[in-house]
Amino acid sequence: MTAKAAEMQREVRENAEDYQNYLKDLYSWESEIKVKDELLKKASQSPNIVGEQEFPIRNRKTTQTLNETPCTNSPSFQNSGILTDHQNKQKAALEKNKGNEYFKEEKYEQAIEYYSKAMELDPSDAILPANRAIALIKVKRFVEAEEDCNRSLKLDPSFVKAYHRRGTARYNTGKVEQALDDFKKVLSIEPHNKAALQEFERLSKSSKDSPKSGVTEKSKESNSKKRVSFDQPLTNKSRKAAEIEPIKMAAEIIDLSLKHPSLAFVNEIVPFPNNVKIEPSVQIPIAAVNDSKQESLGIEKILNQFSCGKNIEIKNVEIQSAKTVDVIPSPPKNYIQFQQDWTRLEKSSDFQYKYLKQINPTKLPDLFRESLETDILGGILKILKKEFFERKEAILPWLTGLSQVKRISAVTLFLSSDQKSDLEYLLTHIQSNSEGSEEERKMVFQKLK
Amino acid sequence: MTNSRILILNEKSVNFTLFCVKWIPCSARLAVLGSHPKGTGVWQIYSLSKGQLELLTEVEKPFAMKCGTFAASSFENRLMATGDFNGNLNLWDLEKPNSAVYSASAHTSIINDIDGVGGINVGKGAAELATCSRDGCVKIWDARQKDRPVAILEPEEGQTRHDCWTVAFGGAYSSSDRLLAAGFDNGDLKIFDLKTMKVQWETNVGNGICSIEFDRKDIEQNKLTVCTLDSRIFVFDLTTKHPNKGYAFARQKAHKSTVWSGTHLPQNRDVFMTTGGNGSLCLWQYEYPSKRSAKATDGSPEGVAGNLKMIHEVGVAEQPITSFNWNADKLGLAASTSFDQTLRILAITKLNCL
Repeated sequence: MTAKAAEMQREVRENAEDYQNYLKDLYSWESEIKVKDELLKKASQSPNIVGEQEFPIRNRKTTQTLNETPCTNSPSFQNSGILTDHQNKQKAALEKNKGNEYFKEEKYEQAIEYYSKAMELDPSDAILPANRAIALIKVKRFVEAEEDCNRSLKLDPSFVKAYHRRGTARYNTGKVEQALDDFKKVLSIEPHNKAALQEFERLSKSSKDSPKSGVTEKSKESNSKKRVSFDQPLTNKSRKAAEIEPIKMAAEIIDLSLKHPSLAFVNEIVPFPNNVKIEPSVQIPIAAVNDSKQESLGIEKILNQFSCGKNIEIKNVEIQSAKTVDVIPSPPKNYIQFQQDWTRLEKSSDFQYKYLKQINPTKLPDLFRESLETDILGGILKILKKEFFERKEAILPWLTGLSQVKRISAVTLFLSSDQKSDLEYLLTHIQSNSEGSEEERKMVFQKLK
Repeated sequence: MTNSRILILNEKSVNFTLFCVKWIPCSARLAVLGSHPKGTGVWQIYSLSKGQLELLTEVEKPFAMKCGTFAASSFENRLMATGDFNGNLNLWDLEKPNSAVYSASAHTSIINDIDGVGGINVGKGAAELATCSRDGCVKIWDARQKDRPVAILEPEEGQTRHDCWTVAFGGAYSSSDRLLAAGFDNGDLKIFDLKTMKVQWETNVGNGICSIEFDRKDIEQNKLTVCTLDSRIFVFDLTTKHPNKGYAFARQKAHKSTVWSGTHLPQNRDVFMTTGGNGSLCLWQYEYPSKRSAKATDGSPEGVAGNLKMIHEVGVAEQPITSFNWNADKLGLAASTSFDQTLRILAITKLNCL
C-alpha cells in the first residue's frame, strides 16, 4: 500500500515538475515566436511581398490569369539567359500591365513600347499585339495597327477585339470595304456588341471621301478617357456637311440604343429621360448647330468634356436619341419598347394613333403583361377617344384587349378623373353603337368599370 | 520517467458556440471560429502570453462560421480561409477583417470542412483549398481564380448525394502530385488523385466519417487516420494496395462516443490525438509492424497494419470536443474547443521521448 502511495506521490510530483518545466519552456518560446510574428507582420505590409506563385493554376495552360489579377509587386528576376518559358510569360504579363497603365494615362507611345517588350517575351499571346494595335490607333499609326491586328489574329483567329481594331485601322487607311468585313466578322461572333453595331452602321453610311479619325469604338478593357478628336477639321467640307458630321458623331456617342441612325435632321430636341446622368446643358449646343463653325467647334468641345470620364456610364445607360419624329416606330415587342415609343410620340396624337394601329389589340395582354402603368393607359384611352372615335373605327376590340391585361382593374383604379371620364365615354360609346356582341361588351364593362 | 501526459494549461469561456480553433502559423496567437445564438458568425483572435489568453480582436460576420484553415496561405500573408453555414468560402486578412481578400459562393449548403495545401511551407505545388459540403460536392479553389473552383468532385447525376463531412489533402510531395481524401456521412471514404482527376480508391467504413487526415500532407501517401461515429478510429496504411482488398487498416474503439477529430502531431507523424463526444482526449501512437507488406494468399502484395497504442487519455469536458489543433511551432502545445463554449489550451508533455 505504501509503495503504491509512494508511487502515486512520485507521479504527482513528477507531473508537477513536468508541468513547471513545460511552462518555463513555453514562456521562452512565446517571446521568441512573438518576435518572429512581428517580423512577418512587418514583412507583409511592405510592398515587396514575395507574391507570384511559381505554380500555375490547375488546368490553366497559359499564364492568362496574370492578365486579370493586378500585379502588386515586381519581383526582381535575375536576367540570366536560362529563363524558362514560364518566367518569360510572367515577365511579359508584367510588361503588358505596365503598358496598360500607360495606356490608361494616355501615354500611348510608352504603352506601345511596353507592349512591344511584352510581345518579344511572349510571342504566343494574341492579346499583346492587339493591345499595341489600339495604342497605335490612338496615335494614328493605322498601318502599323492593322499589321499588329493581323499578328494577333494569326495567333488567335477568334479574337474579336482584334477584328474590331483592325476594322477601325482599316477604315482609317481608306480600306472601307475591308473594314466593313471586319466589323461584320465581329458581329457574327458577338451579335450584341453595341460598339461594333454602331461602328458598322456608321461606316456603311458615312461618306467615302476623307477618312475620319474619330475614335468611336469603346475598348472595354481600358477605362481611359476618350477624346473625340476631329482630325480633319471641317475645312475641306461644305458647312452643311460639316454640321452634319459633328451632329452625327454627337448623336452616335450619346445614343447607344439607337435603331434609326438617320440623324441628319434634328429639329427638335426630345428631352432626355430622368435616369440619364448627363447634364441637360449638353443638349443645347447640339440643337443650335445650324450656323457658324464656331458652334460646331463648340460641340466638339462639349463632346470632349462630355465623353471624358463618362464613357462607362454612357455605355450602360439607355438613352432616348435625339430622334426625328417623322418616322413611326415599328410595332413594339415588349412593354418597355411600347412605353418608350409612346412617350416619344406624345407630341402628336396622330402619330400615337398610327403607332397604336400597328398593334393587334388581341396581343395587348401579352405585350403589357403586368407592367402597364396608369399614365400609359390614360394616354391610350385618350387616343382611343380622340382619334379612333373621330375616324369612326372600332373601339371594342381595343377595350377587350385592354380588359384582358393582367391587373387592369388595379391600373384603372388610379386613373385621374379626366382619364376616367374618357373611359366612361368610350364605354357608353360602344354601348350606344352596339359594337360587337352583348357578351363582349358585358365583359369589357365588368373589367373596366 | 513518466509518459507523455495531457495537461490543461488554460481554459477560456466564450459566449458563443465554438466550431473551430486554429493556431496562427509562426505566432503565439490563435483564432477561434463560431456562431452566435442569433446565427451570425464570429471569430476571435487570442494571444497566449505567459500561459494566459488575451483577447485581441473579435469580428462578427453575417453567417455562422464552421471551419477555417491557414494551410493555403503563405507565411507573409497568413490569410485565414473560412467556410460558413451559408456555403461561402472567404479568405480573410486578419489585420483587415472588414472585407475578404477572396470570396466565393462555394456551395449551396453548409461547408462542413476546409483544408489547404501548398502554403506555410507544407506541400509542394500551387496553394489550393478544398471545401466539402452538405450538398455532396468537394470543390478545390485557388485564390488566384475568382468565383469558380479549379476542380469540382461530385457524384454523378442520379446517384444519391451524401453529405461530405470532411476533406484532407495529402501526397503533395511534388508540384504536380496531390491527393484529396473525402469522408461522407454514410461512411464512404474516397481518395481522389488530383493529378489524374480520378478516384484512386474508395471504400466504406460503416459509420459516418467525422474526420480524416493524412499523417503528412507533403510526403507520398503513408497513413490515413479516419475517425467515425460510433467510437471507431481507423488508420489505413496506404503504402501497399491489394487489388481487391485495398489498403490494410488498424481499427480501434475509443471514447465510447463519436470520435470527432483526429489530428497528427506536426512534429511526429506517428502520434495523433483524437477527441471524443464524451469530452475526452486520447493520445495515440501508431506502431509499425515489422514488415509493412506481405504476400496475400492470392499472391499479390498486401499491406500489413500496425497497431495503435494509447498513450494517455483524459476527460476534460462534459460536452463533445469538436476541434483540436496542434501548434506547429511548439512541440506539445495544442488548443481545443468544445460545445460547452470553452476554449482550452493544452500542453502535452514528453512528446520528444516518443
